[in-house]
Parts: sequence; structure tokens; C-alpha cells
Amino acid sequence: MPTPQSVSVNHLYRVANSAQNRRMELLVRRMAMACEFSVRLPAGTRRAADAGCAALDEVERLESRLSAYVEDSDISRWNRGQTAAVDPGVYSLLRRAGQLAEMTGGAFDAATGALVKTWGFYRGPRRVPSPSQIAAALAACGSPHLAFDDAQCRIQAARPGIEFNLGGVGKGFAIDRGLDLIRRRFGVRCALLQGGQSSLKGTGAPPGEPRGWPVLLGNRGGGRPAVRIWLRDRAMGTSAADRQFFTEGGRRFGHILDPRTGWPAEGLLSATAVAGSAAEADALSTAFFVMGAGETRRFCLDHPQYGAVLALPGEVTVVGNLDAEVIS
Amino acid sequence: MILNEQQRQIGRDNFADALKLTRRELLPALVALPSATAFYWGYERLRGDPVRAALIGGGGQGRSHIDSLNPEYIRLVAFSDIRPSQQKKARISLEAKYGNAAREIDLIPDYHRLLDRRDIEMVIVALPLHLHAAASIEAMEKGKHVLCEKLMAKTVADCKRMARTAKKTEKLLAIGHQRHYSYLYANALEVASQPDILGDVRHIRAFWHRNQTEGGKPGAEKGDFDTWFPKIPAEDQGVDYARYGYKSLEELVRWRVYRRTGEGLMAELGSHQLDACGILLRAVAGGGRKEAIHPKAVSGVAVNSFFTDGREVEDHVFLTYEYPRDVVVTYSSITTNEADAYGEQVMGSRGTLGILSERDVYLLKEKALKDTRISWVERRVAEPSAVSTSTVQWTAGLGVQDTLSSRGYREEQEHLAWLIRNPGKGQPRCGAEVGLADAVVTLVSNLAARQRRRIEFRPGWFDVNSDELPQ
Repeated sequence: MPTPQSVSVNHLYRVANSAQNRRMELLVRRMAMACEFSVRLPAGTRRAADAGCAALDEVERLESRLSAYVEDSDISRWNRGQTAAVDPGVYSLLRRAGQLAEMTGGAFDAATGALVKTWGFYRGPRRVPSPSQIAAALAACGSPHLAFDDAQCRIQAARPGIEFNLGGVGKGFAIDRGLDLIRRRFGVRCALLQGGQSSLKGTGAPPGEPRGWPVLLGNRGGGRPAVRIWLRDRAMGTSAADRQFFTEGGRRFGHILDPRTGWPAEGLLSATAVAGSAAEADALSTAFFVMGAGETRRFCLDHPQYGAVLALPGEVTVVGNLDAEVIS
Repeated sequence: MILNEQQRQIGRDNFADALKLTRRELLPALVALPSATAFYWGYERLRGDPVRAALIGGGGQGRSHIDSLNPEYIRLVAFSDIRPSQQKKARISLEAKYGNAAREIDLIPDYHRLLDRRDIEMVIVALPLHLHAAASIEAMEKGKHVLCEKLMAKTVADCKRMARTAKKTEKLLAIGHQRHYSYLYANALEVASQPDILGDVRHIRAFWHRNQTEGGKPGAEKGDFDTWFPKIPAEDQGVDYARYGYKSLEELVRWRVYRRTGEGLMAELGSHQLDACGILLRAVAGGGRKEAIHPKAVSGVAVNSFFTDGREVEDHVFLTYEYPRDVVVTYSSITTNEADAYGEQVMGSRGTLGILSERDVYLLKEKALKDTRISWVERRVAEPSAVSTSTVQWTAGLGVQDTLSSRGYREEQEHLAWLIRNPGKGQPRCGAEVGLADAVVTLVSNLAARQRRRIEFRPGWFDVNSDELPQ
């Protein structure tokens, strides 16, 4: 036991560390896409601070290309009909979104800008549209009306008025790209990147966690049931409508719209999707929320690479391919 | 260190997690378990009777000590002050702290008489600077352990006499550089010692900027607004100052502005910060180093350019310190502008650590100053790395937000009391040698700045056993 004079903070720190099986991680955070993005890197990662910042720089760069809220983003310019060609990175995302729309039978669709605007979920005011307004909006929605030209990175719409809204997939895409970048540039193979409260991807497994990065999926206020999910080269996204909604005539309307009907999806409290990429997880969480429990189960049987956690009042269900435990 | 509100928030947040985890993990259940605090600084809960202590000097600093006393460690039995105005203020502080029991604390104006009391084990010396050595040495020779306010003494010779007296009488001598017991600084050091965060540190800028001019109101330059130049209270008019060795009532009340009784800005403000710079440089050089890092040379300028009240000490001082590896520390203490307030700014190739007003620590990443927050966080194995879902209010947080109310006074008192009850179990974190080193740097700084020259520090000055003294 060293004398008090020689006890350094570091020494005490190491004692506390080893005694209680704790790990240090570097946390780098920044606001982007109207939420907080964070990167976690285990202690010992080389140039961890620089890598963390580089991942967030990439997120920020993508925001300027993807956001419908940024006037001269690729997406805004395409939506205005100013261009059919987009940046190759953006194209790959839109192409993937189109495939996911097809895979989910339209339960997820990024080409639903018109519908989002009709309900006022873009820039307000939020309101319940008339059936004819919904019909008109639906006519200007849907990936099936898009023609993708992989060679030219061009997207042509077969109908007028089609607009992208990447709210359901943009964050995840940025997470994937941020992690790709720090793997290539810094050799980082173990990191957790989180965007907002609902999108994450973990690569590798941090020291002491062979199953991967542990993430707690919980209820507001920490109530149970809750689910613990391990992410090892996997991503998760969650959709819920308890934050963005409005009420009219005593009825509650959530912001997640069913592209198939034009109306807000109902039934689940939240839907979480687990997938290999964060973009997929983001898109599928929206799809699962729209599909509901039964359809999601069938989807996961047909597509065994995916998993889901579905929350109903007082109950959570874990479906498909994921490493998770329910804490009840 | 001028930051906009966003930068402040980000810098604070950058540091907050590191802070939170250090306090949370190293001070387990701080609230429930008082001894945990003590553990952090290398002592424990006091077993046995609280140490019987007395306070010598009931001015502002003395009253800070009263406010910090922990009755589990220290029982204040007497206090001393020759000025009725200060006696009255000290009484108010004591009553606020102890209620009716405060009446049992004896007032003994003449500290020599106080030191004659056999039942007193420990004294806190909070007198004007020129009396630190005399009072501390007399106290130790009369069998008391001493916590002496900084600066240790007015001359290096006095400091060495104090240190040698402590050795000869086998009494504990602690010097009141409370930053040695500050969690804020300890946590800042923890961050500073992580090379990934700050990178290569080649410069620290330390400063204590106050504006004593009250915006240039009439009379400002006459010291009318300077806290060092207070009005003489009516109730002190009758004090027999000559009996206690003062040349005038003014010298007694405004002792900080006279060369015979004080050493000006460097002693009152700068010494704490240069002390802190030494610890910070040690941390960035690698946490393992135990010995303090002393500067190799100092040059500077000290001027009295504003006040016309006849003060003998300077109102602006500027110093440049050369440390090993050609690391340079600059220090300024001024009295006509307070935009910067006071603090230390550690400038690394990757980041800046700013410690402001002993209250806030900012961590700013180089070239990403705008809004990136970087912190070390700690996680138990199997504890979630993240909480997810849009149905949850995301919090980083398991920890309790702390106010960091302790500036270290309480801990330095408690530690000394514990050492008194546990002889041989260590030394105060700021003992005679650290206090001496700090006084050497401070006093030589004044010498260099007043003579406007460069002075190289000699190892013998820092050595208690050497008779070598700066000229």
C-alpha cells in the first residue's frame, strides 16, 4: 500500500478499475441531423479522438447531401426536379431504399415525400387530410414509379410530384458510412456509433464483451419489460410514434405513415429491427411498425437475416435473428 | 479565456462525463459514506476525539476555514484576531456554523496568548503574509501542528526556517494550497494525463484578471473599489496596531498593498495557479511522475499603472516561465479588466483544457471547437453501452450531477487532523516542501518582474536543507 503522499489519482483509478471490472471508453458526440450522434471507442484504440471526429465529420457531410431540410442537398434538388443524377453515395442509398420498399411490400418506402407533406409532418401544420387529399398524395408516392439507372446514378420518376423523404433511413445510412470510413482510414474495427435515440451500429466486440456491444432497449422512465441486445457487426433501429404525433377530434395521429393506406400506422408501441447495416435496420423498423406483429413475424421467417423486437402494451416480443434477452 | 455560450456548454459537457465517472466511481456513494471522500485523498474517517484546533486570523480567508470545518475531524476551541470588525464577522460565521455552541469558542485577540494554551493541538494560521513564519514557528515550538495559509512565507529564508522547525519539533506543517485537495483539479489532471485528449502540450496560459476599477467610476484609481484597499472600519480605529508591530492602522487593514506585509498579486493570486501549472505539467508529462516539475527560468514585467492610492505592490504583473522540454507557461494578473476571469488554459496539439474560476472545466477539441464533445466514460462490463429506442429519454446517465462545491479547504483540514491522530501514516499533500517550492517560484517571479530581468532557478532554492537563497 503506497503512502498517501504517493497515491496518485491514476493509481486509485486503476485500483477502482480492476476491482470492479470496468472499462474506459472514449465518447465523441456532436449534433447532426437534428439529434445527437455519438461514437464510442474502447480505451486503447489508436487515435481514438481523431477517428471519432472523422466518423462524425462523415455524418455531417452526408447530412448536407441527404437532408430534405437542406435547400441545396442532392435530395432537395432531386425533389424539386432540378436533376435526375445524384452523388454515387446518395444513389446507392436511394437504390437500397427502393429494394427495401420492394422487399417489405411497400410498408417502408422513402419515396413518400408527398404523403408526409400532406399530413404536415414535414414543416407543419399537422392536420388530418381529406380522403381526396390522401388519394392525391398517394398518387405521387411509391418506389415502383421510379426507374434506377445504376450506370449513370440517375433516378427518373414515371409520375410527377414524387419526392424522397429519408427520415426513415438517412441516419442509419450515415452511421454505416461513418463506421466504414473509420475502418478504412483509421483501422478501427471496434466501435459503436449511435444516431439520436433510435439508430445504432456496433462493430467488433469491446473488451470483456464477447457478444458485442450491449445496448439496453427500454421503456420511457426505465420501466420494465426491457430488452438487452448485443450488437456485433450488427445494427438496430427503432420506430415509435409516441413522440411525434398530434391529436385531432380526440384521436391520436402518429408520424409513421403507412404508404399502402396513406394513414398513420397503429397497433405497436414500438418496433425495433436488427440487421447487418444501420440503413436496413432503420428502414425495417419503420416497416415493422407499419406491418404490426403478425406480418413482421412472417417477414422474419422469410428473411432470416433480420430480427425484431416488438413492443405492445405491457409486453415485448423478440422475433427472428438477433442476440437479445428480455429483462422482465 | 473567452468562450461563447455554446462553446462553454460544449466544453463543459466534454468534461462532464469524465468528471461524473471519476466522482461516481472513485468516490463510491459519496453522499452515504463520508469516509469515501477521505479515501480519495489518502485518509480515512477519524477515529477518536476530533482534533482541538484554533484559528489565528479571522479575516476573509480565516472565515473560509470556519465555513469548511468538519466537526467530525476538528473541534474549534479558540480564535484570534486583533481587529474588532473581524472578530465580529468571525463570530457571525461561527454562530452560523455552530449555533449556540459557538459561544464556547474563546476569543483570544493576541495569538501569542492563544498559542500558550496547552489544550490546543492544531492551529490554522490565516494572518497577513509577513506573520506566517513567525506564527507558524512559534506554534510548532509550542507543540502545535500547523495549517498555514499560502503563501508559505514572505521570504524563502522564512519558508526554510518553517520547514526545518517542523522537522525539529516533529510537528506537521501543511500549507493551504487547496487545489491539492480539489476534485475539480484532480479530475482535470486525469483528463490531462490522457495523451489522446490533449496531444502534445507546449504551453499553459494562466491568468487571474479582475476589474477593480468599477468601470472607471470617480475614485477608482484611488483604490476606492479595490477589495485590497478597504475603508478602515470605525470599530477598528482604536486598535493598538503598534503593539502588534504594524506601522499604521492602514498597514494593518490594507496589508496586501504594502511591500513589508504582503507580496502583491503573485503571492495572493498567482501562487495557487503556478502551483496548479506545475501539477498539470506533471500530469501531461505522464501520470506516473511523483516529483513536482519546477520552472527553469522566469522573466517578467510588473507595473503599477492604474492605482494612485500609494500602494506599494503592483496592479499588473506579466510573467513567462521556461519549463523543462521548453514548455512555456505565461501568467498574467491584472486589475483593470476581467473578461478572462481566472483560470489555467492547457493548450495541447489536439485539445484545450480550460479550468476556470476553480469551478468549471472545459475540454475543447482542436480544429473541431464548434460542437464536438469528447470525454472518457467508464462502463462496467455487461452494462449497456447505449440506451436505445424512441420511447426512452436517452441519458448518458447513471451519475449524479455534482456542483463541486468543495474547493478543498475542508479536505486539507480533515487530512491534517487525520494525520495528527495517525502519526507516521503520511504527510499533507501540500507540506513544507511543496509550499517552499511554490514560494520560491512566486517570490522569484516578483524579483524578476520588478527588476525586469530573466532569472534562472537554482536547485538549492527548492531544497529545505540548503542555505542557498534567491537574491
